[in-house]
Amino acid sequence: MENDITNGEIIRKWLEGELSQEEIEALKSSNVYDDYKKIIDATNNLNVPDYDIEKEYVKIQQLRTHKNKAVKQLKNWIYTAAAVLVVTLGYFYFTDTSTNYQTGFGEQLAITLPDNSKVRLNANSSIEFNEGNWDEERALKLVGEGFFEVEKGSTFLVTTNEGTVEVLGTEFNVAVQPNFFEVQCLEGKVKASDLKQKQVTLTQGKGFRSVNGVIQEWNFNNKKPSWILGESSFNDSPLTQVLIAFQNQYNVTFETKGIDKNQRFTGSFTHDDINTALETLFDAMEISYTFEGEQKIVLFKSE
Amino acid sequence: MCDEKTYELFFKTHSKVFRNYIYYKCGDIQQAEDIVQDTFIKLWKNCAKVALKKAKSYMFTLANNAFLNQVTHKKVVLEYQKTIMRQQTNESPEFILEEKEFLLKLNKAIADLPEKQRVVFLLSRIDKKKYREISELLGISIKAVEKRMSQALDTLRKKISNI
Repeated sequence: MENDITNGEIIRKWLEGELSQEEIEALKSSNVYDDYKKIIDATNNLNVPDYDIEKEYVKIQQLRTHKNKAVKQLKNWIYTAAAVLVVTLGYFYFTDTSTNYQTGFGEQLAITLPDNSKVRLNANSSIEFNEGNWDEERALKLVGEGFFEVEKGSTFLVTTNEGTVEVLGTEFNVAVQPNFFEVQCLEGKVKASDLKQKQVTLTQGKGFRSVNGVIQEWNFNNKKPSWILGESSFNDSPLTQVLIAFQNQYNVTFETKGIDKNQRFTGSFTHDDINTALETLFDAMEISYTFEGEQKIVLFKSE
Repeated sequence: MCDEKTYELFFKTHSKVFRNYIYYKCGDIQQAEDIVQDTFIKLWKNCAKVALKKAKSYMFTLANNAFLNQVTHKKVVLEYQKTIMRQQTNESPEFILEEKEFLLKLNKAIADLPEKQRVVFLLSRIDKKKYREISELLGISIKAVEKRMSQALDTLRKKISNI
């Protein structure tokens, strides 16, 4: 059957190796088979220019953080020259729209956003957002811990490396550390989702925590997060998180000897005095501590 | 899609095919890579609205639109510069020369193919996509892929034997 070869289905089966023995014989007897075979074989010698996926992904990541301000490479040098002029003029307007606030060890910072929403940043934390299009998109990126008082309006989005929080108008606290994501809702309603897309809606007085993917929810009574009043409080939190919070306040490092860092801690420590803080924290957990130099604290089990 | 890891995996699995697909359409590698970048950034910005299952067809629509938008601005010049990858051979110089000529002819004939046929032909032959995958990517039936493929082969054969 001579027109079989021009039949699309036969060609598909041929290329995908699904032909039966008879069909192959029939195909080979066709007068165009040799030409087709030559073309198909030759395509194995054709190639597209290389594409380095890893490198391209890095580019995407960079472009994403600069939003869409990135300037495309223009082939023609005339365009490039013209663009350079425009870009240098525009540079100061556009790049400045990405705003960044950061706190150091033991510092706190109160920030008022363009729509009058307020952020309190705890120690060693930062936020980044785009001031230029804040009216269209209330979104910011948080590293560390922050307390938010959000004015009513469009969706307000907090993204972090460990999850996102989405609200309309409310007050809430977000704390993020590697593999740790904690949200407390102090007024109104918030929607929080961790990296596994596990999503919860929190109402006033409800907390949500994801530690290494394990979810925990609890209730609380306070109206403001305690750290705003100069004290870090914890409710059944893993010791790892308590230590990181402590390090952020006092700029020290811990060395733990044979201590279970997953054990839970409920209580608080003050931001004013390191010795009191150490005492209140570790006495209750039956952990002893000694200073090694000014900034290193060694922890070990009490006898 | 807003999960960094999901997004990264999605990028790493699909970005090359997207880029090749646009390249097969326009023949301009720089333009193809720019469009891929733009569409992936759009995907990230809209990640909350796009379910993972829908992301592939969403990306193809975006890439297509971006491509159409750009074409209205500038007429694309088709140029195919495919590097010829040769395996080691112990064939005679004449044969190699013949082979080379054949590849050049084939290259030109592919560049001259109607766009729809070329895209299907190259996705199948270069990216080694199955017909089923191509039909999913382009949003057409397998029958349509079969038709375009056999048309492409027919056109190529006629062009090459005529020269």
